[in-house]
Amino acid sequence: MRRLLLLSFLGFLSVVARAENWVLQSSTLTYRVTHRLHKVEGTSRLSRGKGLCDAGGCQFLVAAPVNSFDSGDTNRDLHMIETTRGATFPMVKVTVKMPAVPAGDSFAADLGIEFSGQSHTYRAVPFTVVGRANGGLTFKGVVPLNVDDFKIPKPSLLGMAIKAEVPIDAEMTWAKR
Amino acid sequence: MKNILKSILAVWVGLGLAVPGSWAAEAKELSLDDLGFQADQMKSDPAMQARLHKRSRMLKTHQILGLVTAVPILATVMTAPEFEGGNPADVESETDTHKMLGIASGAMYLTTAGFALAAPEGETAGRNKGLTKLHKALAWVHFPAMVAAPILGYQAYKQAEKGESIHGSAKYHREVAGVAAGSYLAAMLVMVFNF
Repeated sequence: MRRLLLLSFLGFLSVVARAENWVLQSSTLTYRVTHRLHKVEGTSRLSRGKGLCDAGGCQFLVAAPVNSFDSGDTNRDLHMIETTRGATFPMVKVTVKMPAVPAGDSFAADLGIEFSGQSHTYRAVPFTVVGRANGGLTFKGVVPLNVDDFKIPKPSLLGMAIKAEVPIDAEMTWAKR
Repeated sequence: MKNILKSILAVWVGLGLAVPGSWAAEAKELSLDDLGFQADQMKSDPAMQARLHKRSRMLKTHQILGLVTAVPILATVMTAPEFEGGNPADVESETDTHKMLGIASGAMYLTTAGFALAAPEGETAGRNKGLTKLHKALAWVHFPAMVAAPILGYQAYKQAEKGESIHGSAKYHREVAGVAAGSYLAAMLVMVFNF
């Protein structure tokens, strides 16, 4: 009887031991729009994220409200929300599945992005690990977002449309919980 | 003994569902609800989307009309007659052209302004920043000047018609019109490079 209870307790410990929770502590996401006449950047620091790791692998979810991106100009931000259908689809959602938490100085991940009512996966997006303070993980990289992948019409100025490539600079710090 | 085994099994099932990483939790996908956003942040608002769309269309029209209106405004400034010491026949002809261009500018200016004023505000109503703030601030300069310039111009025209030298507030018609045109063009250029 005692042996059975001990085995059961050890089994419970092994289940708990392989589970690992991660929380996005801080992040900076900056989109870069390029037009022949000028360049525009908009930054959000309001994204939230969570990660779950176990023996089967890790899954991470990061999301940011579309209206949290600030380009420094009210009119442009409202136009961005309108163009990206940000009131109808108010969140940008990124999901990542990995076999384990990255251990080296760099890693690549497949990013599943839901944005503007559309989904697209960017394969093997490279990231660089820049810190591992307190058992956490800080990394940065560039998400090669293309507005055509999300059926977003390209805004134009003086008859010239912006470039379809709108890369997003991402820097994130994750903490283990 | 059977009861104990049943209890252990029940505990395991409970743990399986509760502990991330266990056999049952592996099937669980993370969702937006797990991130702690407020419900209104995640709520779809098609009415707001429609408002933003209408706003965008109206401001696009405002932008195009604004660019077009700059042409008669510049032409009005360039056709301003010299009342003092000019040939009366030439002055009369120039005045007519100037007057007609001024009326066209005023009508187009008010139409342009109407689209901006009637466009629905977004969720940042009253919290302008960036070049949009400057663009709107310049309206406080060019709007009164655009209203005053034709009034002063009419006064100047009447004084010239009577053979009087331009006097009183009418003598500032040129300056006021210059301020109107200058601030209007500045407001336009600000938005041309800000979309």
